[in-house]
Amino acid sequence: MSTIEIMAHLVMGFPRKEATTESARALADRGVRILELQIPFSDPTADGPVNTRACETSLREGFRVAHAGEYIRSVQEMGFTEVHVMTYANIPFRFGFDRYLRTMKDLGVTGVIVPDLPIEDDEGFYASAGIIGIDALPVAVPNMGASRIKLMQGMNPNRIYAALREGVTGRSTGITDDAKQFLTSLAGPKIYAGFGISSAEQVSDLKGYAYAAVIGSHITRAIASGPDWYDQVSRAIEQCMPDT
Amino acid sequence: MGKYFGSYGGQYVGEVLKPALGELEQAMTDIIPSGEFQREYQYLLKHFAGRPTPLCFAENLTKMMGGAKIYIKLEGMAQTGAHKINNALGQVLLAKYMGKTHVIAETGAGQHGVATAAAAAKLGLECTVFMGAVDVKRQQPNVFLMKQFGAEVSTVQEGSRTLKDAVNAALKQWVEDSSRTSYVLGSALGPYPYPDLVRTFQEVIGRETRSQILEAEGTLPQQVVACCGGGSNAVGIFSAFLDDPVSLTAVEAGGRGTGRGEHAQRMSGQGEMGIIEGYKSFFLQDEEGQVLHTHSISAGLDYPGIGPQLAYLGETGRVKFTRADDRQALDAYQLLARKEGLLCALESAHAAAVTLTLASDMDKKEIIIMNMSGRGEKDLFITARELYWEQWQQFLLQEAKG
Ligand SMILES: Cc1ncc(COP(=O)(O)O)c(C=O)c1O
Repeated sequence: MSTIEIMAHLVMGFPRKEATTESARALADRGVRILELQIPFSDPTADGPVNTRACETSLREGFRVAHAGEYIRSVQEMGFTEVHVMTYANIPFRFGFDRYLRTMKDLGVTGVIVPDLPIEDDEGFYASAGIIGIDALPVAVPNMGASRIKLMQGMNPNRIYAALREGVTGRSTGITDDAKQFLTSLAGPKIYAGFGISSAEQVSDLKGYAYAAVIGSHITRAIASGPDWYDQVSRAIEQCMPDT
Repeated sequence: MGKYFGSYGGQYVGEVLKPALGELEQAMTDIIPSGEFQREYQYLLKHFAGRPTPLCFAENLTKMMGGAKIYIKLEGMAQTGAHKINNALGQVLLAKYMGKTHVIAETGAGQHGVATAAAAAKLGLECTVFMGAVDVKRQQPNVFLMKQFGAEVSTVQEGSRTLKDAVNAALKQWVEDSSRTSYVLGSALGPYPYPDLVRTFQEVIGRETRSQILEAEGTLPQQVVACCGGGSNAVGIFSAFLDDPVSLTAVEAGGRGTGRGEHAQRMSGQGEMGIIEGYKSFFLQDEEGQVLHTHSISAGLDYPGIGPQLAYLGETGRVKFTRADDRQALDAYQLLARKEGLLCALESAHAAAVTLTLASDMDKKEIIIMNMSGRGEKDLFITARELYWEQWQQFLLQEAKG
């Protein structure tokens, strides 16, 4: 029987710093080994309402991009095997793409995800990442068509972020045969498949098709539901664990 | 033109949007130049939108300023009261030719929403307009008008709940349903092909103006002035003069001050290059790249980004950028009303303020043209509040009592 990892997604600083660290601790304690941290941006075009509001709250409560390093370091002590950082193009653009990639690499980040830097309009981001020695995960979607999949495979990525639903994050996804076929067509790299995953059944369904299932809005909703972040996130992630 | 203007423009969008943008690009090159589309579009511009709009000699203002001859292009005479209808009709018609049954649009002040709703009603498509909650609250008259045209108005509660958030919400809705739906963007910005598409439909302003001034004066003007939000009316009128020895000036909103969040000066102020909402251009943003709030008395200029073609034309120096603040716009609005019998939209009043200053420094033999992108009735609730508060307040209270 094949296995599958879980990649849990946290919006940094939502609703404040301790929420992120306590949530991360809950995830680590429940055996989650991969974490995706999102640097909040004012105009998160690929996020659904749940994560959009989380970004907004975090920024309103004083999150600064300059704090990102602290967040990354604080979760790294918790024993995650991979930490990925996701944000929107303008954040690394203002910071300087190469400087961003180098900083992330120096922090020990495994991969970076920037959904509004599609291949060809990426300002050389994916190539620079290769040179600097950090994985930049391109985003694949089911409606992208064979020619763009080919283009993506031509870059030989080690990892791909696959968005299963056409659309934005946060709504429930059935792992359909079409989705499975799509994931199969990406064959090769490690696939992190997500968007709308909130149940153990969905995670189970992805076994054999993806290296990791991404749980995003489901966790953000749990964090938003009250002040007991550790317990809320523990319960939320348990709902997504196939073996419990 | 291509995807980029110099280093500005591009298509920085999530992979999910690529197919829909590709389909639109294809339609732009295949359908728009076709005889059938052009015949129908030109017919609508003439018999529905009311084109050509007049180019009016402002004799009284010319005398008063004592400088160049002032001409005013009356885009506000077009159906629904602004240049926005040129683009809305074009894009809704294109959607119809593409076999779509539904259009969506974002709106700030409501002008583009009203224009799209009217065009959709005329052409028989369903219409949903996304509008930030803050804008819905302050622009109720336009919300009402959109609903009269049968459009659904969807209130956006995310972010600053203004125009940029409405753009985000519309893009997301488009992703959900692009097989049936087309997204009608309201200004010459956003991911490729929108800057090209919108300019294509707004170039009519410049084409008409050029031939009208040649007919009236037998010569080209020395100056053309337009207000600049996203930049569609400016790029529309400038496009016909780019290769001529004509100075082009774009006027941004100086708002109520030079501090953060008090204005919308991307080019004449503290804008910085960024990649936001699908395109690379100048944006009002903080050091870390977060988008800043903006302010202008005119809702249509109150936007943190500027279209990539204008950013490029600004960088090369072909278009000069300057500002007019809230007060100067209001003064110009009143002056145009008293001296020329023209009620100018507050957006266009920014162009008017700068036009008057420029005109007074020019020679009597010279010509300056300003684009009056819209008419002022839509701003009644803002202008009356600013200029006629006591009586207006009494009137509102009395009306509310019923
Ligand atoms: C009358 C009028 N002028 C100007 C604008 C600004 O848009 P743009 O810069 O795209 O012409 C608007 C936008 O709503 C408008 O309604």
